[in-house]
Amino acid sequence: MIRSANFQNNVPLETSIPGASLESILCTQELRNRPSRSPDYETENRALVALASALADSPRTILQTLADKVFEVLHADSAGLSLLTKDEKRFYWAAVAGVWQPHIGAETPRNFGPCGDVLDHNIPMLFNHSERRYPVFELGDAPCRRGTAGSFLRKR
Amino acid sequence: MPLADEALLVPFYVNGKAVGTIWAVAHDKRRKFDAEDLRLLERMSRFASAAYQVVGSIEGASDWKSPRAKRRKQRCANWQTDWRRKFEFGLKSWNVVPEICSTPIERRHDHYLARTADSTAANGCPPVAGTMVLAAGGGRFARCEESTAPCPGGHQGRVHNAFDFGHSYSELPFEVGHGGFLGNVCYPHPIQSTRQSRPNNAPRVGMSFRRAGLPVKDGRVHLCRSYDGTWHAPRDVTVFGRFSVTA
Repeated sequence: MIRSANFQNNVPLETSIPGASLESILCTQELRNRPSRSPDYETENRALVALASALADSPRTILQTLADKVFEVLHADSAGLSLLTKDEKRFYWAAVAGVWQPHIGAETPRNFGPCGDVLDHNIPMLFNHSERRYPVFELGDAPCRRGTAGSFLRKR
Repeated sequence: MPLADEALLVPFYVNGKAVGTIWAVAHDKRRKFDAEDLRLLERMSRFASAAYQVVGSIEGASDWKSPRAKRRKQRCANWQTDWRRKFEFGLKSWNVVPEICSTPIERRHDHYLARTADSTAANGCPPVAGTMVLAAGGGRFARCEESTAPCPGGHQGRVHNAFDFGHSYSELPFEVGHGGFLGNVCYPHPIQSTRQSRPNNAPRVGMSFRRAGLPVKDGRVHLCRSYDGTWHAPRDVTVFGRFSVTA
C-alpha cells in the first residue's frame, strides 16, 4: 500500500503554493543515510499489546492511545493522527500527544499542509522546517486563536 | 506553537483509500528521525487503519466529522425539528388543506420538508431564519417555483412556492391549487437556486421548475406570482397564517 520511502527524486514537486518548494523541505532520503538505532522489539511489542488491549477496552479513545504510543515509542516531541474530513477539504487533528497536544481538534487545509502533500504522493515523507513552506507555523499558536482566513491551523 | 524541526508523516488507508496520516514531530535539532522511526511509524499506521474503522463504526459514520461539522449538523437538525413542529402546528390550526391534515404524517410524502432538508444539507449550514405562509385561494397558483432572493440583514433567501405541492403531501388525490405553502428560508451565505444547481430534480419529482422572480420584498413574502408566470395581485389568495423560525 505505502510506496517505498526511496522516492524523493521521483516526486513531481509542484511549487504553486507560496513559500518554499516541497523539494526544499523534504529530506526523506536522509532516513536511509543516517545511522539508525537498533529495533527495540520488546518495547514495540509491549506497545502493540497495549494498543490491542485498549482497542478492546476503550475503543472510543483508541486514536489518542495510539498517538500516546507513537509519542512514547518514537521518543518524539509531538505525535498525532490527522484524519481527512468527509468533504476532503481539511485534515482534522483527531489525536495529539506531546508538545502540540493543546492543538488537538485543530484543522489544516487539505491542499496546504504536509498531510496533503503526503496523501498527494501516497508515500511517507520527512519534512525539515516545514514552516518554510507553510509560513503560518512561524506565527506561534496565534493563528488558531485569531482564526484568520490564511491560518494554517484553525483551532476549534 | 513550537516549530517542528523535523516531521515524519505516514499515510494510512481504508479499503485502499488514504484517509489520514500518522505523524511524529521533533521540535529540537538534537532529535533526528531515522529508518527505524519510519519502520515503527509504518507499523503503527497499520494499526491506525484498524482503529479508524473501529472508531468509525462506533460513531456510526464511515466519515470523520470535526467538532464544527458536528455542531453544524446538530444546528441543522434542530432547525428542521423546529420548522417541522411549527409546520405541523400550522397545518392543524389553519386546516388549509383537509386532505393533508387528515393524512397521517408517516404517510405523507412531505416533499417540501424533504426539499428543505436537502437544501439545508446541500448548503452545509442551517438557515438563519425561515418564513412559512399557509394560504388558499381559487386562482391558478404557481405550479412550483423556486428562486433565490436577498433577505434582510444581508442574508440570502431560498424561496419556495409550493402551492401545487398539495398532491405531494398526501397520498390521496385532490384538486391542486386549493391551498399550499410558500416558504422563504434565509441562509447566512450565498446560495444557488436548485433550479440551477439541480436541474435534473425537476423531472424526477414531476415538478415544473419555472423561472421565478423575486417574491420577497422588504423581507416579506408576496403571494402574487401566477402559474403562467405573470404577476397577479394576491386578490384571490387567503392567507391563513404565517410563522417564522429563527435559528
